[in-house]
Amino acid sequence: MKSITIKKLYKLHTWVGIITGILLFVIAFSGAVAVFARPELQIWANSAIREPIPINPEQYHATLATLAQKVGPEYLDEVHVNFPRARSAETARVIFEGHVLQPDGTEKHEGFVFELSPKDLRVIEKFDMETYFSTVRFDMASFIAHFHADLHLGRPVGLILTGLLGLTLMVSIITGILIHRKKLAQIFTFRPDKSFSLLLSDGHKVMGIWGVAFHSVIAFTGAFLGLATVILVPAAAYVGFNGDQEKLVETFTAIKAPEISHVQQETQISEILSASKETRTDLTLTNFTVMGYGDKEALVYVFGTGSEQLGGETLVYQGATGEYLRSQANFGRLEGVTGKILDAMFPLHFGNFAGIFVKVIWAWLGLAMALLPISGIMLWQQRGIAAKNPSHSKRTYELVGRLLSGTCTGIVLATSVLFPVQLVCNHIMPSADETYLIFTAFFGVWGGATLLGLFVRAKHSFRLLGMMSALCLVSVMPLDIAFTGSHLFNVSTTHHNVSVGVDLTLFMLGLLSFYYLFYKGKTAGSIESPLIKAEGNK
Amino acid sequence: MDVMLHLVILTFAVIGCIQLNLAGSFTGRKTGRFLGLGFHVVALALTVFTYGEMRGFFVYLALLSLTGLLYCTRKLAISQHQ
Repeated sequence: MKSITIKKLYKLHTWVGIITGILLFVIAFSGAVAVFARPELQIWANSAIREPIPINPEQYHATLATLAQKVGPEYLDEVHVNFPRARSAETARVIFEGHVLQPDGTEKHEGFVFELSPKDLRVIEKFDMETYFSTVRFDMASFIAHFHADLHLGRPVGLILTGLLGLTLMVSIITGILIHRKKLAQIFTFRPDKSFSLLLSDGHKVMGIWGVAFHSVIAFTGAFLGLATVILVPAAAYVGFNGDQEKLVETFTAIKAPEISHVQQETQISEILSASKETRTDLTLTNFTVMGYGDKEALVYVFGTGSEQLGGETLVYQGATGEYLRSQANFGRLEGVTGKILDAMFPLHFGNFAGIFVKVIWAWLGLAMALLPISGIMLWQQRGIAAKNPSHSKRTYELVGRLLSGTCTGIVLATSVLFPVQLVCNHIMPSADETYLIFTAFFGVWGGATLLGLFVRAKHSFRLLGMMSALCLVSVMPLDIAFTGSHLFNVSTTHHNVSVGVDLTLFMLGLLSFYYLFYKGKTAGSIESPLIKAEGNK
Repeated sequence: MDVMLHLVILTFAVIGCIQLNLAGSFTGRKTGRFLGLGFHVVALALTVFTYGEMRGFFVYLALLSLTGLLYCTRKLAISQHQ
């Protein structure tokens, strides 16, 4: 490749990194945490679902029958039930949906949502479907998951932004490989103690090369998930379905509505759920849908994860007889590899297809991905400061360093703060909506940290914000013990395995952060960056 | 059993990385390359056996990234480099 082309690629790699670097860190870091958002952090954040809640088929059968009578036959076209704990639900949730024909010939989906207590399926609250889905309610787990998806900028802006970031990450990966292709052979070289510049360049190279396959998968799936619903689906609907997006989704997704016979026959929910539990012990059942509840031709779709299908598996039953029909993937109706690829997108992005072991790997590699743009920007600073004729003034490099330290350490602190805030909210106002407090705490802390970063030297703000993050993480376990009485020594009686696991992990992470900031931070002083030295000499 | 299998997979992947490393660079020795490749193939086979074809493939890709990264940053590579 010509050296002039390499130079252009190098410039492209540098500027894409500088422009998107901080945002990429924010997305990648929140993604590393969001890997555990559902269900681990969801369970931790909601004390009502901390212990395992077995699915009781008879109870669901009876509850659905009672609620169906209450809502009336016009809302039984679709019935969706989410089991508590398994997915994003801190309650058991039942949605009754009817297809109402409009004067212009189109169908409108209307209905009711019931929130049920997870253990005895007692109705806690009833909502109109439109009100329910237009109301935003977050605990810290769903807050982090949504922040990763669209930065809480709303849709479509947020989704387009994160989707575009996936694309720019792909550009960075490709240009990075091309410009550093001669260094690819040095994949094992990492010299942390020689100089700060070598630490950065070796770290950037090692994280880039070893993680290239993972980063590519995340970038591609991230771009797809971000852009699919806001650009790809409307575009495909425009081309193939005269702009009818519902028709497109209906064609490609696995839930097919039956031909309603208008002959009433009880849907065998109890029998179907029992059969699913007994025959498919490898699946963790997450939710089920009844199309045409109470009709002779009703179909029941039971969803579960844990099998060899990447995106989960759907068991299909004849509702009236309980007869097992088939098993399929989510996009099982698509021929060839297309359905498999579409099915793989979400689980490959979040690493939730093979248990906690894989989630831990995804989180570690997500953190490595977050450090990649940061190390790149710091390298740019180092080289700029050390250059005889720098392209920018020293003040510019300093400002970038301060902004980097404030925003990036700030997002770590803001995320850490959410844990104690959630516990305090649960304790002080157990049934109240904590969304406002979660938002205020997160964005308040992040904004404050960014401002602090701008006014304090990068080294000091990094240390101070790091210490505060560590303190928040370490405080979670004692707070949880004080508020809920749940701890390691009574886990055999409480069965709060997941929440105690989260507490312990956060405690360990907090201690590790303290160790690094107190001990390692001092020993690393010998290889202090020229930028920090320059700031220090002022 | 499950934990043991994961430990075996991790060990094979790390040994594979060690075999491929020569003084901080990708080895030029044929024995090293064959041994490294062999260990990685066994680790991949065990991962596929544990998780199934498609899941196993992606789990192994991530595992390879992680073990390579950890091996490098734990200074194992450095000791041979210096």
